[in-house]
Order: sequence, then C-alpha cells, then structure tokens
Amino acid sequence: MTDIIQLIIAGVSAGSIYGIIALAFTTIYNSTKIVNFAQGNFIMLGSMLAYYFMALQKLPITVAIILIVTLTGLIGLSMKIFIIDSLEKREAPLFSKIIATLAVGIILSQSAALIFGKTKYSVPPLIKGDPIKLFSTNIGIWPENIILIIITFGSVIGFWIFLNHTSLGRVIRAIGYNPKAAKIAGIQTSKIIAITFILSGGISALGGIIVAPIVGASPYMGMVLGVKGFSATILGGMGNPFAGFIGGIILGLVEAFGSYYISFTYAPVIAYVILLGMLMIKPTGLWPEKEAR
Amino acid sequence: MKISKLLTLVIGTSLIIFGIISSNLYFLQVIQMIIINAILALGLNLIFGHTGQISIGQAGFYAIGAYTSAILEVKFGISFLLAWPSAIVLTAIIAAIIGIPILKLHGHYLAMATIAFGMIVETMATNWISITGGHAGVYVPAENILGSFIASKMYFVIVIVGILLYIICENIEYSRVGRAIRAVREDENGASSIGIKHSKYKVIMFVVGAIFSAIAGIIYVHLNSVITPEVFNMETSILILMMVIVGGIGSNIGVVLGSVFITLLPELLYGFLEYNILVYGILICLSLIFLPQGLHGLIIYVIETIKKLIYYNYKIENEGE
Repeated sequence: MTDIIQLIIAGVSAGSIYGIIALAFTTIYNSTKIVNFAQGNFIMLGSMLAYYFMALQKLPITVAIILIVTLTGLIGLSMKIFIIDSLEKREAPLFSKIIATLAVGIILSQSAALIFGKTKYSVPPLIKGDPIKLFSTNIGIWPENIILIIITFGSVIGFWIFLNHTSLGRVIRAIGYNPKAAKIAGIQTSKIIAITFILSGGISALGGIIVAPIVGASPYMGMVLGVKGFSATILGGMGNPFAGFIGGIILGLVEAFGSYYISFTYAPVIAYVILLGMLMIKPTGLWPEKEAR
Repeated sequence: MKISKLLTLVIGTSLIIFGIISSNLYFLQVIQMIIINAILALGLNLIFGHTGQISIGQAGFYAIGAYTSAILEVKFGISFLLAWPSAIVLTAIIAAIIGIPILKLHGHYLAMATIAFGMIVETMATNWISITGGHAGVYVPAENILGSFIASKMYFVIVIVGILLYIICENIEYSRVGRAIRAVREDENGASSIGIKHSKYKVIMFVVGAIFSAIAGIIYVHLNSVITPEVFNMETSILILMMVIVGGIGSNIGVVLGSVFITLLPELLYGFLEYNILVYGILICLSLIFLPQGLHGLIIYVIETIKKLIYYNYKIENEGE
C-alpha cells in the first residue's frame, strides 16, 4: 500500500512536468497549428537559467523566477520573429517549419552548452526541508514535489481562466478556431501569435525552473523532455491544452508504475512506445479535437 | 548517354582510380564517410524528397542495420555473406511494420511518430546491454570477419555500393514508381483519384529508404570496427535530414552535394570543432529561409544566370552588327 501511494506521488509529480510541457506545446499549436519541436529546449533553457541565476548568482527566488520567465519568453518571441515569420512570408511548406523548430532546438541546446559548459549541474531546491510525513505513516513527500504539483496545477488552472474568461484569451482561442475569420473581425493575428510564443516560452521556463532541482540542469536534457511532452500531448489530444496536461499525469503514473513493476531499465522507452502506439491507433488522443490531420 | 549518367560514371571511375593510386588514408577515410552519409541522405530523399513524407527517425534504421549485422557476426558467428542480407531484410520488415500504420499520418504527427521510433531504437541500443553492449558498444574485428583481402579492399566495396545505390535512385526517379510517388507528393487525393494507391507507394518508398540506411549502417560498422548508441541518436537523424535540405530536397545529385558539404564542414571548422553542431543548426535555418531549394537550386540559379548573361551579350553583339 505504501509503495502504491509513494508511486502515485512520484508519478503525479513527474507527470505534472510532462503536463506543463504539453501545455506549452498546445499553447502555440492551438493558435498557429505549428508544433514547436524546440519546446523541450525551452524547458532546458529554464533549467539552465535557474542554475545560473539561483545557484551561481544567488538571486532571490522571486526575482530569479521573474527574470528567467521573461528571458525565455523573449527568446520565444525572437524565434517567432526571426524564424517563423520569415518562413511564413515565403509561404514555406509545413515541413520547413517542423525542421526549422528542430534546428532552433539544436541552436538553443548547443549555445547553452557553449555558455554554461556541457556538464550536468545540480540546482538548489526552491524550498529546503525534510520529507513531510503523511498522516504519521512511512509515506513521505519532499517539499520540492509539493511545490512542483502546486505550481503546475496552479498554472494550468490560471491558464484555463486566462483562456476562457479574459478577452485576450478569447482572442487567442478565436485565432485557433479560424485565423482568417479572426483577421476579418479585426484581430491583429500576428501580434496575438507573438503573445502566444511569449506565453509558451514563459510556461516552459516555469517548467524548467521546477524540474531543475529534481533532475538537475543539463544542456542536453531538452530533447528527451520534449518528446515526453509530445507523448503527453498526443495521449491527451492536441486540440485541448488541458487534455495534454491530463495526458502528462497519466504518462507520469504509467512510467512510475512501469519502472517499479515491469523493468527499471526499459522505463525510458515507455513514453516513446505510448507516443508511437497512440499515433498508430488513435492519433487524435483520448480527448480529441474536432478535426485532426 | 545522358549527362547525369556520364557524370556518375566519371565520378565513379575517378573515385576507384583515386583509391588505387592514392595512399593518403585521411582522404580515403573522408571519401568513405561522404559515401556513407550520401547513402543515408539518398535513402531519406526517397521518402522525404520524392514521396513528401517527413522522417526524423532515419538513424533508427541506420542503427538496426548496423547492430543486426554486427551482433549476428560477433555474437552468433554467422558469416557476413548471410549476416548482411539478414540485417537488410530485418530492417525492411521493421520499416514495413512501422510504416504501414504511421504513413497514414501527416505533417507533425508523422514527424513525431518517426522521432518516437528513433528514440525507441536509441534507448534500446543503450539499455539492452546483454545484446548491444550498452554504452560500451559492439566491437567488430573487420579483418577476422571479412577476411584480410576484403577488409583491405573495403574502400572499393563502399564506392561501388554507393554508385550502385545512386544509380538505383536515379532510375527510381524516372520509373513508373517514381512518377507515381511524385504524384503522391504533389497531391495525395489527386493521385488516388487517378488510381495510384498512395499508401502502397508511400510504404514501399519508406521501406526502400530504410534499406538504404541499413546498408549505410552495415558499411559503417565494418569500417569503424566499433559502434555505440551515440552514433545513432537524434542528432544523427537531424544531420541526415540536413544533408537533404542543404543539398536540395528531391534532387539526387543535390543530396549527394549536401552530404559532401555536411561531411566536410567539421573538417573545415577544424579550429572550432566544438561549434560544429551549432553551425549545423544555424545552417539549417538559413538554408530553409534563404535557400529553400538547397545547393541544387543555387547551382541551377547560377547556371541560368550565366546562360542569360551569355545570351544577352550575344544579342547585343548581333544587334551591334
């Protein structure tokens, strides 16, 4: 019983990281129909900057978080301006955008390796402390994981409110449904899409900051995290940002239980097999968007 | 005889003559690497360039070809005459099993599925230690397995295989299959409306492309004597994709030029080798934005411009008279 609860806690905390990556994916996808294959490297950027500002510069946590989120958001914006916009202007085919975002990922991870070095760094936890015992049993939770779960769930709920109950959020959704109609209605689509890139970068940075103390920060962590994020997104469904988050939690739980009961060595494969399997059987995900292609 | 065929013949013979007269091991090594990369790029070009189906998991097939042949030879003591065809057949079967369901997908979904496939193969190569040796890799003593005669003549084997595969690519382009896949690339629904079974052709090209990767893998193992999972990671898949993009999507000669360029780039960047992958990333972006037709497009543009200039001068001269 203790094992199972312990695994659920581990699964939900890992899963909420995948979920927040999925949230960052779908933010861009739903307004532009572009899948940002560099997303994992934005997480990496968040982690590496967390290492730089928190471990090296020892800035206060709130200042560091604001700095990191803004910086990563701006990098997302420059990616939109320099890469995506130039491709759109040329009316480049879809695969150009796919490959360009992949290339941006490479550029980000290699630049981070050049600036900060290739090693894996440990990042101090946001809140220090011993594991908290639950109901005076043997089950303990690290305060880290509690913070992680609170931040991810908080940002997902916040994002839901933003999308559904603010005018900017509604505009973003409108562009996702029908960009041409949105343009006719007087929405400046390019500006709004720029905002979604900033938002997505910011959300990724947040994910990076909370994941860094748990798995460490390394310039090469992006690709694996990114693909696990896809896996969560596809599991849940691309159309809905929150389906992706739930997909992430499911993925985290499956991984935690899989590595405990089946095989620890092959646990890393689980996420990829789920991704490939879902794409083969039901590419629209468990909670499909209306039209998937 | 067409110019392109003549060119292939000339390059092929000069490479073989170079192999006979030259004793510069460095140059021979570079040429061998270029040919391996060109085979990989030609294989991807069949799927991506000609058929229009993106694949970011080519390193997976590269790995399956390499590991299967190496493991069969080293762990099971099977002769290379049997191990090489079995590696190719296994890769083809896996490509068909993977390809049939995932080639129904489009765009991002297909890209993700192929990434997932590549990551699965990479992770298996790393973690299935009892078979693949994990990070230590598999050691293949080429001299013992191939015999000292073939091992010393490996360069010629590679050149001949490379030229043959190039000729196959050229012939596919102008064959019935080639026309069918071009129709599929331009308009899938249109192609099926005139009776081209697009799913069949897509899977066929996916399998042929995978076989190309497997052949490159087999050659790589016997050239380098040791293989580790790092050789077959995501970056390799992206590198293969890059050779196709920089060379010119859909053009066989362009893709070969792309692989020459990408293979030589680290040699040119010798002073700052650390930056080479960063340079690759920047190059992809620049190429996609400013040179969508790749080197092939650039060369055609230059030739056209020269033609125009000559024609223009000729016209002026004539009018002057």
